[in-house]
Amino acid sequence: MHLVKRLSAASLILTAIVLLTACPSQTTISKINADPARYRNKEVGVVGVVRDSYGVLGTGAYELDDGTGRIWVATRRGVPSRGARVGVKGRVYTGFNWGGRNLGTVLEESDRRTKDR
Amino acid sequence: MGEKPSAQTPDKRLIVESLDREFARLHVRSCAIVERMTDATLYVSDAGATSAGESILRCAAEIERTFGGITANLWDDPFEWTLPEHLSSKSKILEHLSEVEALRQRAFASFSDDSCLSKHVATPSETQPLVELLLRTLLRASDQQAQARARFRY
Repeated sequence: MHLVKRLSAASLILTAIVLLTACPSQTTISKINADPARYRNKEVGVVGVVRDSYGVLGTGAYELDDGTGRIWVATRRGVPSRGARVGVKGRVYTGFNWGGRNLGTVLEESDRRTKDR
Repeated sequence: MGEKPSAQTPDKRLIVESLDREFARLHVRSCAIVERMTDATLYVSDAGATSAGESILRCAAEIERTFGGITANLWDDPFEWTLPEHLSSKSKILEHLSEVEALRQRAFASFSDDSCLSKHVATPSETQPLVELLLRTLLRASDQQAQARARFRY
């Protein structure tokens, strides 16, 4: 019985560790842009409105605005339409350039939910 | 009239050429960063941090792995042969960057038109369209290069 309790406690702790490390921390775009090094290569979640989007051959990028700032999100599926409110989970990368323009910090989308308005 | 469009007609390679330009710019920027360092400062870093030289090598490694995979199905991490011990001077790093750039150019020369970018490529971890693989490589390589720039303040 004692062993069962111990195993249950251990499995609970393990589950908590897995869940806590697997969940991206929801943050604001201004926090990411203010200190990209802190978030670099980490998975984060942000919610905002799509301001601009470019898609090509099923891949593309869109600019997300959460009211605190804007960030470009690189996606591997179709881009959401302008004005859509989305929640994005993704990894933070820095120093992305395109067409001679420095897009700065970019989020590589791993999951996306479209929010009901 | 009757002129047959070649396989590499410019308007059919708009996206390929756009990606080509971005990778070329990345190479030029990497070389410029290395040029501004000295042999002595290549691998100098704060405790625990990656040096500018290592970040440049990691940037090149992202490109080498992708284009080595595309051209010769070699998806190995080039880490082993790009150790600071082997590439101990600016000239050796620049030579290595040129080799990686030549590999990349060979791969791009084989992309006849934009439709190639929709083809799926089997990497060791997943199968994905070529355009995704290229954009992801560009994103990760740029990130490493940004680290090099941040570490090496000139």
